[in-house]
Amino acid sequence: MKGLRRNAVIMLRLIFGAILIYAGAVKAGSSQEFAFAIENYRVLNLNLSAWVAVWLPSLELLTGILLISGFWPKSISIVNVIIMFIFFCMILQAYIRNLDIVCGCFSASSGTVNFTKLLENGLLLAGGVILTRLVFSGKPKIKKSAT
Amino acid sequence: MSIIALASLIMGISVNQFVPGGIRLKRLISPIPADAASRVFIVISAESAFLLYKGNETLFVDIRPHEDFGMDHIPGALSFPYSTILSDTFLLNLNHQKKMVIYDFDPASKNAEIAAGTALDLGFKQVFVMHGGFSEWLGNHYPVESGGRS
Repeated sequence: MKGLRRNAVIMLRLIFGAILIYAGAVKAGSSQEFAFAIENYRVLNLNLSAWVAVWLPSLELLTGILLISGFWPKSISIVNVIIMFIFFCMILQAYIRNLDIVCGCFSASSGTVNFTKLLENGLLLAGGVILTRLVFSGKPKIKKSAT
Repeated sequence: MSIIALASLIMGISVNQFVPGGIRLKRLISPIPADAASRVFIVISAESAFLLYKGNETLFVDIRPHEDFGMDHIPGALSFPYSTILSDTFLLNLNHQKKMVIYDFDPASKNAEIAAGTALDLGFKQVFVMHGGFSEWLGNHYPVESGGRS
């Protein structure tokens, strides 16, 4: 059971790491275009969208690298689930508001927001939650007594 | 977590100084004014724009995508797509003392107003927005030309 949990954590870390590195890498070089994709969600104005467009790809890249490398597993799994939650909320509000926009998920001009995209992001969020839960449910290390 | 957030922000800002499609720090810290769309630029009709066009002393700035500009535009107009408004090349190398008419395709374009507000912010003195857009210009059968990017 312990081995199964460990393997599931490694697998999820690799999957999310690869997704985030890919998503961050393709957007990192096109922040101007990505800023407009963010603005299209009609949540942030263009100035704030520009800051997010500069920041988010690097956050995705860094989170992806740290997920794969295994540093700070608890903190990184929380960051990962926060990113997935924000993506899901953005897609959900756009879907509810019936906005005919590109999602900007993997590049500034990737597929439009529709039910499939919502489902895709819902699954990613669920995966992120499972990863966080598995990481936190690991057996705590027992500190050796000094005496 | 805050270390990751801060590190990625620094990384993002640094990368964006060098990549061609990046947003420079200068643009991030001196952003488009929130009230850009309500700045004091002059809204004019296609008829008035045509008079300025005939005067031959006005810059016409087309903010539609390059592809649309290539199909047809006001003769002598310059192409500065709205999508480049976050770049440091937007309205670059233009004479600040000249009159400038900014137009989009659709009437009452918010993008044209934001571009005009940005032009004022960049130091242009006399900025006009063709309220009816290029569609009104076409509707009035005023001259157009095709081809070219700027």
